[in-house]
Amino acid sequence: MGRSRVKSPWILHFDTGSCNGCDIETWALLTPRYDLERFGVLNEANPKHADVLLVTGPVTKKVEDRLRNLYAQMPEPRVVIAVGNCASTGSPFDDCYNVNGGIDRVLPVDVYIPGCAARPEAIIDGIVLGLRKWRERKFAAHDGTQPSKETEMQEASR
Amino acid sequence: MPTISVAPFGPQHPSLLEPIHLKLRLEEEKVVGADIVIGYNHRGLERALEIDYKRNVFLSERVCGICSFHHSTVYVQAIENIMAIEVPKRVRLIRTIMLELQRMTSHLLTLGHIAETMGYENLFMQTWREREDVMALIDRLAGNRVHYSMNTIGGLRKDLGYDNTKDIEKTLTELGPKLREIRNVFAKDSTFGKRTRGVGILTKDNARRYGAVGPTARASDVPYDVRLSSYAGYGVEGVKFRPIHREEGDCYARTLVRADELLQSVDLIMQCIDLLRDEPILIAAKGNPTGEAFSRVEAPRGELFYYVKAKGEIRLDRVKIRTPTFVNVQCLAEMVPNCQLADVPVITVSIDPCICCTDR
Amino acid sequence: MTQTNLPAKETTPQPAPKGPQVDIRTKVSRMDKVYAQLIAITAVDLGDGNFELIYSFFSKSELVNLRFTIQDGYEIDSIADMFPGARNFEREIIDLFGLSFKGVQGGLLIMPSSQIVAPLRKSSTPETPRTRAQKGVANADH
Repeated sequence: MGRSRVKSPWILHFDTGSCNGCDIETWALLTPRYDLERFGVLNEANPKHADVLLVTGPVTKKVEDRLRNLYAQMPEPRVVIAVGNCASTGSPFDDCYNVNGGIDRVLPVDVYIPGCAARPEAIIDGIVLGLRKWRERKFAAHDGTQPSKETEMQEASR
Repeated sequence: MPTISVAPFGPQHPSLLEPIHLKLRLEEEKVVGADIVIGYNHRGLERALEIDYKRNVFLSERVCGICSFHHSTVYVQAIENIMAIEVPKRVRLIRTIMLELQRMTSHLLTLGHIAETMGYENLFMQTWREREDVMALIDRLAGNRVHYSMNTIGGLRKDLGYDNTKDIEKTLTELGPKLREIRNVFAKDSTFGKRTRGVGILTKDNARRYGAVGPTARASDVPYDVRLSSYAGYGVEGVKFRPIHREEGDCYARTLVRADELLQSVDLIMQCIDLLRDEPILIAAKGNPTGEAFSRVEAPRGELFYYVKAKGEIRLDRVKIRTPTFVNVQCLAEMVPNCQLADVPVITVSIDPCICCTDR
Repeated sequence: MTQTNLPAKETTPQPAPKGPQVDIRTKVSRMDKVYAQLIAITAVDLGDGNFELIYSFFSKSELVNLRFTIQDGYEIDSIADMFPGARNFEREIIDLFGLSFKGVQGGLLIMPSSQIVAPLRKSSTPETPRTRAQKGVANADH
């Protein structure tokens, strides 16, 4: 009975020093052509309400502490999605001195979305994958079970 | 004695796309001063650009995702200047077409962002919906929505064929009336006017002393537009262009300059398509560049300025990038005092800050 | 001569200007009188202990470049009182080249507490993700 109260996931989007190509493609998902809100996903600015952290950029030295801080403020279960080539591996900024080179040098990453800039379709794919992981963790945390096959089919067909 | 409190604005804020930090000094709700802190996006690209001058064509694109083709064009122009390569007219016109298409996507982004900052969600959605049409067009022309990678030293890597130009004409003809409608909403809506007229004024003298560029300067009666220096297709005979400028210097003027430039871009693209003739699109470059050059381009936010010094090998001696927001962001210190706290997001977004460009 | 590393980050300028006096303000004030617009201040490391400063102005529809050669350690006059927009350029040059301007603090792009010092000098070799990978440094624990 209690497990039906799983709310729709809220996304926190943070830019750690990217060229903003992927950020704008992420914003474009909110617009009518791609419309992410039909998945029940909301772009939320408060880290204490967020479930999914969507990060772009190769993590510059100045922004590193703020990223760790945001992650620490997010309640469990939480999922980290790295959007774009520079967030995933650090390239094309491998020769830049002020970057760490990829989100996974700083935080544990659950989903990597490649592309420079990552296409909106790829970002949607990645977010859906991330949401599936988040739901598994949510159910496991709630009552130790996995989501049923019907719930998974419902999610996949949206 | 009124107490002054300090409120932070940013670097992570719902109205901001990028990390910028403003330390606002407040007297009750009125802002009396602001310190601007940047550097969150500093990657160190000027050093990375010294490594390989050929790879830089693609690395310079990734300085910024919104004006990426402008960065690529200004860099390639600098190297072509050093190597004394004169590109064919067709290359100059196609570069202009792509530059103007990128300007349209950038201005539509900013107009939507300004609308969203004020709570006009519907207008934000409409503007970005039209933007998606332009992005889809660019995708069909270049193969990528954000980093076109069409430039190379000596010309272009990809041509625009007859089908492509027909596609551009069809898309822009359908888009024209919708863009005019968006422009009229910004010009005539009374709530928008109340929140932007007289807010965040930048005087003409301050605009010059701070070195403001782009729509931020042109809205303060400084008709400074680098397109008048006839780079790329703007110098081709038959392309007529006059910069748009207004006198008020407030957020309203900055928004309207961008909305009018949007319509001007459609006109410029159509002019360039009419002048296209059959010509080669690449002149092979021999050897490595030696020398220095200054190169300037009018990016959507203002003048983009590159200084490149080469010494005859793959490595470059110095690449200096001066982006428009680097100077425009300093103007915030003049615009923000004497405004209400609630106006700060609107003023910040009206100068169209591109912090990835500023910090490089 | 080129220095291999600068002394630990100090925010106070050098005690006395070394080398010949370079008069930047006179030429720049002439630009101010003709209502020119400052476009950029570029610093170039010439590799022999000297730096070139290029002040680019837009005056009467053309680009005007004023060039000055500065010796390392010289305290450069700031022009931020005539052109407030010059402040960011001067702060950036302090961060990236380790030069000093009278009355101007760095810290615009690189944090004072950072280990990266004057990264754009020819003599400095800042670490990048590529050099770290080549050295075989493992990913940081998280």
